[in-house]
Amino acid sequence: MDLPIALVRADVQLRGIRGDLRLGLCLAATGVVAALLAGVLAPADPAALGPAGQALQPPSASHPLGTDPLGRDVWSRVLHGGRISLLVGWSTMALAAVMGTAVGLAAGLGPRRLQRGLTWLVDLFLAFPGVYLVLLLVAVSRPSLGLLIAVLAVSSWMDVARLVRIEAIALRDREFIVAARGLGVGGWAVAWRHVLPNVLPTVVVAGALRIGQAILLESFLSYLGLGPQEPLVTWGAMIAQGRANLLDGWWLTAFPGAAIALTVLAYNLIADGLRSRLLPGGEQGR
Amino acid sequence: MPRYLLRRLCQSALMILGVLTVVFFLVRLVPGDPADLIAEQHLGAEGRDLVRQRYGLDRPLGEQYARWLGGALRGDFGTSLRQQRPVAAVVAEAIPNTLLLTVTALVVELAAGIVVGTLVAGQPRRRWTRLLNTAGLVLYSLPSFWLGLVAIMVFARDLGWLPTGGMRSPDAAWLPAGARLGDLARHLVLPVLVLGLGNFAVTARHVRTSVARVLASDWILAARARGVAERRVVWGHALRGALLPVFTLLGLSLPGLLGGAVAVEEVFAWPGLGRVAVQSLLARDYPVIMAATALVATMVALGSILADLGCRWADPRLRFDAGWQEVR
Repeated sequence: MDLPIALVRADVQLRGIRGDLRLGLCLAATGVVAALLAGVLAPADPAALGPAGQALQPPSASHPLGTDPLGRDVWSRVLHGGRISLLVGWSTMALAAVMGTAVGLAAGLGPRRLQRGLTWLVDLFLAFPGVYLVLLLVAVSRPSLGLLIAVLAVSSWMDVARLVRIEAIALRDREFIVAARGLGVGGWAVAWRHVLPNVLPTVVVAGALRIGQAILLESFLSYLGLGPQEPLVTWGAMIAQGRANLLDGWWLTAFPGAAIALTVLAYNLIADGLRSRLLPGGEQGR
Repeated sequence: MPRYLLRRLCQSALMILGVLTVVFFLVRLVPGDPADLIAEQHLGAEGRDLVRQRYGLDRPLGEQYARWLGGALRGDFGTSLRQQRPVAAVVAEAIPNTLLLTVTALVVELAAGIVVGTLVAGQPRRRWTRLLNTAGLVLYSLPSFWLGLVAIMVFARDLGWLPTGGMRSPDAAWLPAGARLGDLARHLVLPVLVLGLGNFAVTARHVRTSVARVLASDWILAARARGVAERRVVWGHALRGALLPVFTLLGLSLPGLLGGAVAVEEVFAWPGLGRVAVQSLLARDYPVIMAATALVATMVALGSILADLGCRWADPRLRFDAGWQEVR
């Protein structure tokens, strides 16, 4: 089967997007647009200190989400914070999906020795305690955006690899693969043209979930002060600031957190909706 | 069976050794060392060298590694650089606190998840199922550290019902035993709820799916045909048959019992293992980092073995499968 055909099939299956999936797509699209246009939409410079007397103001007409202890506009900062979260989420997903798919295909279709080695490698990475490994890697080095993305990707490609490998193994004995091999199609071509299109739905679903998870983890790291540093704005760091003002500034904590929750919810809704539409057996969960 | 178990145990031991080796060298690859943190700034280069010598940080990496491993195998994890106490004591102190929090959360979350999941599965109308699925996703999407802060603002600051954090009130030591227990319970409520909420949603969804699947089977039809009351069909017959996948989930949540509460412990200042781990990471307290890693990696390995054994017990076909990969 060709890649275009697989895409057309997915398109037909997705026609008439309703319910949770549509809600998720709308939320996610709103988030992406808001982050891309943050420079235009934000009424104030997220880093600009407000005039004297403007510090720690509750939500009002001029500052819809209030101001922080330095007089900066929280609404503008929430808009700009989305850039980091979405960048981290999408980049982590892309890296993890590519790595996971490549390793999964090789571990399912490659030479026997390679298969065994890669399976062992996946298990080794799985044995690292998740959140803990990320904390460790980030804490021992200087916090930066690139490193954060790399670490999140390195610690999250394994479930994609495992799912892809299981599917590749199930596929490799199917008639159309055997027929392709019999016609003399090489190993690489079989993996690329015949197996890959059939595992793509799985990768897409796992990838959507991964975006949400990466954003959650990034915000927690930023909250601990291990994420991207000032002047970059992150939702996690904003919540940390809110914690310092827990008694007199509820808006500092409430709004960035709600932004994280809505964003993560969007990708979880998408993953859930796609799962029940694209994957066999996905309907059971409904 | 014993041979399978033996092989899995050997594999796990190798795996844990691999994890520890990687973490050991990884932590030390990075410039800057704990001597800077202990010696403070005023000791100067000389004092720093002394500290390095004292803790063996000036030796070649290979030697440090061999020493650490030798000690660890004999149960000696060294001295915490930050707290100047044996690592074993630091960790041993934190484990019961973490277990109190996570086990309570697990029990609450399982009980609530099973009850709600079964209730929804017994409902003929799909509206409840959809509501559970969507509400489950929403709860699952909330960042727990934020949820904790919101809970503190609402229930501790505004309503004043519960304490803001920690495990005991400052005056707890003077209270009579009964009141001390009540004090601990009051401190436990918010962390448990925040920790359990996301997992509750996942469990409830699983239980609903599982019970619904069992309810569609022939032997349930037979029970109904015999005139068994609907309530007994759902809660007696179907639920019992549907609990197996839940037990598998339980095995997989084992590592989370020690390492999964990092965010909640941090927000509520709960003196558990997650907090110890975060603080030793931030302070480059190598010995404590290594001990915590060893502990969590062991739990991950044990959890996966238990989950496999659970699957084999539930599904006899798996017992004759030579390849462990297929078990997953």
